[in-house]
Amino acid sequence: MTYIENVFACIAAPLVVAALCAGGRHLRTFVFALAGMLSCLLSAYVNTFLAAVLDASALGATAEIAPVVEEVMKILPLLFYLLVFEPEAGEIKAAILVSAVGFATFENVCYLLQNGAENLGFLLIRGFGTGAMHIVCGAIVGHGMVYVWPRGALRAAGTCALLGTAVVFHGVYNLLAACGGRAQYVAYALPLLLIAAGFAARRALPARPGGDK
Amino acid sequence: MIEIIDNSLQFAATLACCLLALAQYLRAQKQAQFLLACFYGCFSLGLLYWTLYLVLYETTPGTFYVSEIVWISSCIFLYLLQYTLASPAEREYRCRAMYIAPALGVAMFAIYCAFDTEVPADLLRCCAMSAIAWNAIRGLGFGGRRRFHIAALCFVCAEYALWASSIGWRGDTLANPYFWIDFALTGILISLLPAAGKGAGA
Repeated sequence: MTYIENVFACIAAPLVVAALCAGGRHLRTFVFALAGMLSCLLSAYVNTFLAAVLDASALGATAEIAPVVEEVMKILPLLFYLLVFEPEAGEIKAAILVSAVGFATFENVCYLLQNGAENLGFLLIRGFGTGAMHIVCGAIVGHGMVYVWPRGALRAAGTCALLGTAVVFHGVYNLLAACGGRAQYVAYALPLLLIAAGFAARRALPARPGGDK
Repeated sequence: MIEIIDNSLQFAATLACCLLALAQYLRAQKQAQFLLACFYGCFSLGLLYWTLYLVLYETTPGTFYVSEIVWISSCIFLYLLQYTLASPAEREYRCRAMYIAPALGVAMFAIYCAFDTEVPADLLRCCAMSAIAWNAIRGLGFGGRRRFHIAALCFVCAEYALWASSIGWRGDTLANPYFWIDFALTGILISLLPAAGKGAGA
């Protein structure tokens, strides 16, 4: 049995102290990293609960329940931030990315506790893959939020649609990762390739000012 | 096998349309093209998920609502595209024919409920389809961007027909009308790109 709440307490404690010491502008970064980890912890509880209620198989829990629960939990701190603090566009992106990093870090720690840390090569590939997947999901939601949030009419519907897109990307990743074998490596490569493609597209086609609203 | 071929074709078509719409957006920075790219991207990701599930595990997802969520998401993007392309005067416009959309939605919901136990998913589907049909009929009544509104209306009809044909599943063969309707849907999805692109100023 993994006592993930104890693990969370151990990781969160130094972060809380550091956040209090750093204060000011840096406080937000620590808070979102912690929010990401807390989302991961709560997702684990909700996943387990739903898997038991729906009598789901291991595949059903991994590829169907987990993507929905994890993405919904991940977006909640961001929604709170957007609704209460009304941040600027750059702050939205940073918030969701830091939150996604916190989530991925805690998930990796739980994975290590359950599966051991002997095989460094595989853990590196998995770590980069999972990290990149959470970053891509965060980027989908974060960049989309920057776009839809200032446009009142698009706000609610746009948020739901972005969440759905992140859910299905997460679902595709989990589906391939759960399959094992070569498909597993395709899963790890997919988000990394998407991030590379995103950077390449941004370099090749710089955004022109003067686009419409 | 036919289902995998059908889904793969639709995935390739929607992915190509997504990339084209994305390229148009990166060049011109128009909101409508961004939403169109999102619609295609979301739709193609949903197809990828469904097809991978089918290929890797030889079954279809049924534990939770991932497929429904992504499908509804793509419909929301299409709805937002319709909203963005409509002028303020068009958004205010009303005609009697528009009420066909919710009436058809209610009728189809009753049919699905009679044969299906997934009432929340059916309700969401019918609401999404009614909203898209409502906007399309309003656009046709108001005038302008005729091709786009007809394509959106055809999309709604094809989706309704797909669900109706999936009620009594006639097997994974070409004798099953489901696959012919799905091939037609692929054509309709492709036709949305030039139809919406024209309205979006591509």
